Amino acid sequence: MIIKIKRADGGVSLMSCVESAIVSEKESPTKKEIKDFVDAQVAQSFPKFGIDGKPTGEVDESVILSWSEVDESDIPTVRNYRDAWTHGFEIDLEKAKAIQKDLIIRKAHERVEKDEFGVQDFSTVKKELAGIDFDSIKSVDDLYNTWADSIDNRKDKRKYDLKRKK
Amino acid sequence: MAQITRFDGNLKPFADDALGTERTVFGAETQDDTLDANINADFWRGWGIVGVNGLPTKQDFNAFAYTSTALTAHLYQTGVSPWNDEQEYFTGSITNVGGVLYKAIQDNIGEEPSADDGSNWESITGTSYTLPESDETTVGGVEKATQAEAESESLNKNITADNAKHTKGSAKAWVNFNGTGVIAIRESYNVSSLTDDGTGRYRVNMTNPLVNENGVVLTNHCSQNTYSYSTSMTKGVMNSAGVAHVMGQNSAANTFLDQVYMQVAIFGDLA
Repeated sequence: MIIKIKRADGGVSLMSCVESAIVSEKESPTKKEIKDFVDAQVAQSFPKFGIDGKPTGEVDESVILSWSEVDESDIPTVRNYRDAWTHGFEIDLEKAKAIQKDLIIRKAHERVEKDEFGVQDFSTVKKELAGIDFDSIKSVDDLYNTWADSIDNRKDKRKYDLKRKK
Repeated sequence: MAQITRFDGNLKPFADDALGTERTVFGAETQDDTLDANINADFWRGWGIVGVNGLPTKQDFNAFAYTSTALTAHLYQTGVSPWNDEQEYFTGSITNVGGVLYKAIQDNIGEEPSADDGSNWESITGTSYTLPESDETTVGGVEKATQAEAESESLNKNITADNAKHTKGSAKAWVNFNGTGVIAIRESYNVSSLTDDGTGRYRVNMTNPLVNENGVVLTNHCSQNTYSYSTSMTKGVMNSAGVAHVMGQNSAANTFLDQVYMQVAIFGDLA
C-alpha cells in the first residue's frame, strides 16, 4: 500500500507501507485499523516536535497537509524532476529548471570523473549554462531538451514522458 | 580383585542362541525371550518349583541363566536402566528418562523424574532443554536475560530467539530498497514503512522504535548488483527514535541522487 502525502511546500512524499507490519496482529485488518496504522506512520514520519525536542505524537501540520492511498499505476516512473512533482504528479516548471541546472553541472562532473573533461571544459560548461535563457522555457519538454552544448548538443527533440518504461 | 575387563563384543544373555525349546520360560514349557515373560511367579519362587527329590530340567537351567544374564545385558545396552513406575528407588539411585539421568534425593516409587518438582529427583547430566514460551523466565534452569540484561551483556543469562535482538551488536532494523522508479522495499526487518521525499531522500519508519534518537544509521548503496565504480555516496541519521532520514547523493556535484540498491541498518537500544 502506497500513501501519497501532500506537503505544505507543494511537493509530494510517497510512503510505502510494509504489509506485514499492518497485519502483524490480524490477518484481515479492518479499514479503521488500516487507517489508524497509516495515520500513526505519517505521524511518526513527519512528527511535530515539542519544546523538549521530542515528538509529540502528532503530525507536523506545517509540513504535511493531507494524505491518502494512491494507486501505484498513478505514480510516475521517471524521476528526472522528482523534486518538482506537485500534489497531482505534475511538474512544477520553476523547480524543474533548478533541477535541470543541477543536472547539467552533475553531468559535467561525471565527465571530469571519467577523464573526458578537463578543467577548461568544465569552465566552458558553466559559461554555456550561464548563457541559457531559462526564463524563456515554457514547457517541461523544452526544459528536458535544454543542455549545455558541451554536454549534449544533439538537435533531435525528445518528449518528457513521466510514465516512460525504464 | 582385579578390575574386570569389559567383554569385547555385543553382550547377549546365556542361551540366547538356544534352539527350539532347549530354553523355556522358567518353570514352564513355552519359549519366550522377553524379561516380562521370564520374570514370573516361578522365577521369584526359585528352585522351589522342583520337588524335594526332583531334578531341574536343562530348560529351567537355561531359563534361569538366560534371565539373569539378560538383565546384565540390558544394563550394557542402556548404561543406566530406564525409569519404571513400579520400581523401588532409594536415595542415590540413578535412572534414565529419555537419555537424561536423574538421581533420587529420597526413596520413592512412581514419581516420574522428568515431571518431578525437585522433591524426589534431581537431574544430574544431559539435561534436555525445551524451548521456552515467550513468557517463561528460565531456560533449562538458567534465567533468561531480560531486555536490559541482554543489552548490558550480563553473564550467566540465557539469550533466546526472542531476546537475541536486544544485544548491543544486533541491528535493530534494516531495509534494502530500490530508490528508483516507484520506491520499493526488497527486504526489511522491523521496518513499518518507507517514505520517498524526493530524489535521493527517504524516511525509514521503524515498527518498534529505539529508546531515543541517538542510534546509529549505517547506509550503503549500489547502482547495480555487480562490480561498479561510483562517486556517489549515502548518508543517514536518526531524526527521532523511530525514524531515520537517509540520503543518496552525488558527492562531486553535491546533488541528491536516487540509487537502485539502497541499504540501511539501524543500531541502538530498542524502547
